[in-house]
Amino acid sequence: MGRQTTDRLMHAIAYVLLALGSIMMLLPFYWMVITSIKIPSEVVTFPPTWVPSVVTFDHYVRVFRDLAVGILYRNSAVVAITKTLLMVFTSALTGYVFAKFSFKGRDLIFSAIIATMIIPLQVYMIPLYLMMVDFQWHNTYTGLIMPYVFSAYAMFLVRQFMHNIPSELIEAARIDGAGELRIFLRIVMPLSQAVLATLVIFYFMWNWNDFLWPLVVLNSPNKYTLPIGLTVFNSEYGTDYGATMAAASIAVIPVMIVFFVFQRHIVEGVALTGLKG
Amino acid sequence: MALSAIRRANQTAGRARRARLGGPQRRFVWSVLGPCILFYLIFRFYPFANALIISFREYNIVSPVKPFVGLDNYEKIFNNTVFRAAIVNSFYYGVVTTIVGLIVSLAVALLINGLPRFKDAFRAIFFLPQITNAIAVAMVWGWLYQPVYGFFNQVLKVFGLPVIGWLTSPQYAMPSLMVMGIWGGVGMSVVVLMAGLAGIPSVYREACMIDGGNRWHIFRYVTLPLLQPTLVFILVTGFMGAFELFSSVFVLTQGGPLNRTYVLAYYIYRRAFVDLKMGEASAAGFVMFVLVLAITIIQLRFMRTRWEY
Repeated sequence: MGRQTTDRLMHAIAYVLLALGSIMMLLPFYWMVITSIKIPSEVVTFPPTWVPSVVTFDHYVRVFRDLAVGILYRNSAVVAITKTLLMVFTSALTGYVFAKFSFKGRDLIFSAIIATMIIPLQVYMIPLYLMMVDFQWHNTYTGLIMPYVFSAYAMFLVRQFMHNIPSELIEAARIDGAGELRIFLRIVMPLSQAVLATLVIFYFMWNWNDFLWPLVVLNSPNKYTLPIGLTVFNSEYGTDYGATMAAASIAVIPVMIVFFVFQRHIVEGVALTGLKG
Repeated sequence: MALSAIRRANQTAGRARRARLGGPQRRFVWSVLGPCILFYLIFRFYPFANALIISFREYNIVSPVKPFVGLDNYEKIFNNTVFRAAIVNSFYYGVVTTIVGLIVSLAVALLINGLPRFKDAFRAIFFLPQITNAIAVAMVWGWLYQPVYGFFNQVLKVFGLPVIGWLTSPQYAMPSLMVMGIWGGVGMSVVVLMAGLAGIPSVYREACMIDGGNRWHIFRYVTLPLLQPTLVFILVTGFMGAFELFSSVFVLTQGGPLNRTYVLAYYIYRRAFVDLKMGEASAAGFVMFVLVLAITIIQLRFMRTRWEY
């Protein structure tokens, strides 16, 4: 067999294997969507149907009636956007300071902050929760956001990136009489757009899906974020699979659309930060 | 690595030039770091230290007396079969999902990487579970695993096979969670591995081919050794993530059946916020911390020796 024929054969095998893999990856999502639009009797029919014989949106109507989808989305958006922007901005500032200034104790402070990354939330979640109670921050978004205003991981990534910004540029701006904050906002921030954009996407994703801390802090339904609302809905409607799958679809599909639009950017960002982490 | 050496030289040069900060610079540095240091003291170091103290107390949030009990909490949890099961289960889940996940994602990454077209599309499909809400995903898998009408059992029935209690039988519950975890985690590793593969200069592969090497030789003697840092990175981060498994247990099994899916993170949450035994929960938290620390140290050592090539 010639080299070209082997190549073609290998590619064909690869395509078949990956197609099978993709089916496995997509099947749960497909099953979620078709379950959500089947009529209740067809949800449990045997043998299962791959395409619903009758399409209904009753489950969605019920989810929108019994689950405050709009409020949950709004809450999640408010929390995730605030947290993400704060985190990325503070990480940009501190990462810059750690990368481009030298002062006594710098490496010690930086190491101490990085060390906190390995502590799982479960370890300090109880005293942190008690602190929120003391501050009267439990069941508030302040309590949800404040303990996450800084992020050691983001700080680390920004610092790595900003090492590569030429110090001469900063010096030149200083000589021209620019203030430190101005240098940061006008020179350093624009030059770091790539890493900051990646961090925004990343942290938005994580914050959007954050579960444990909101579960601990929040206890009134009108403040729930989407994941918490979903668990409550799931435990109430556990056996109504049409309804739970409709709720899951509502939570998943808009994010999927955003993902497919920005797919390339997101995935490249993951590769960039993931490798350096 | 030449690039990092140059960077390091630049840094030292920069350091010498800016040995002493001018007034405005010093003000800037400390007005940035001041709040940052305060934040870490208040929201990380203080609660961390406090957790240690609570772990030595009998601590119930509703009772005003919180007496010191020494190592009682530690003794209690280690005598508790559920806690011991949780440690074993956390390791079991972590080891299996990390290793199987690594093998699967390496295969997928190599397959995608060799394709002439559609690389982005396949990569995106495998990455999809990463961006979807973990709770929604758990609900979907709960439905797939449903004992009577769930997809998997329906398929078994179509082939005339006996149905399986995916999440309800002690022997299948943990493997079922593992399948779900691997399905959800493979995409991240695929992306990182593909970036690692892209970083291997093609001259090495070509040299291997000129020496008469076939595909297997290229994989065994070029790709695999050069990919080692990436593989170690995936093992480390993957294991840490798996060790902190929480939401799928919370949604799907609540630790059952017969405590077979009770994991550490879930145990701590339950002890603290359901049973309100915060002393015991904190003790369990510290055991978890010590385990995480030990694993990190071992892995960092492993990484350092193998990092440069």
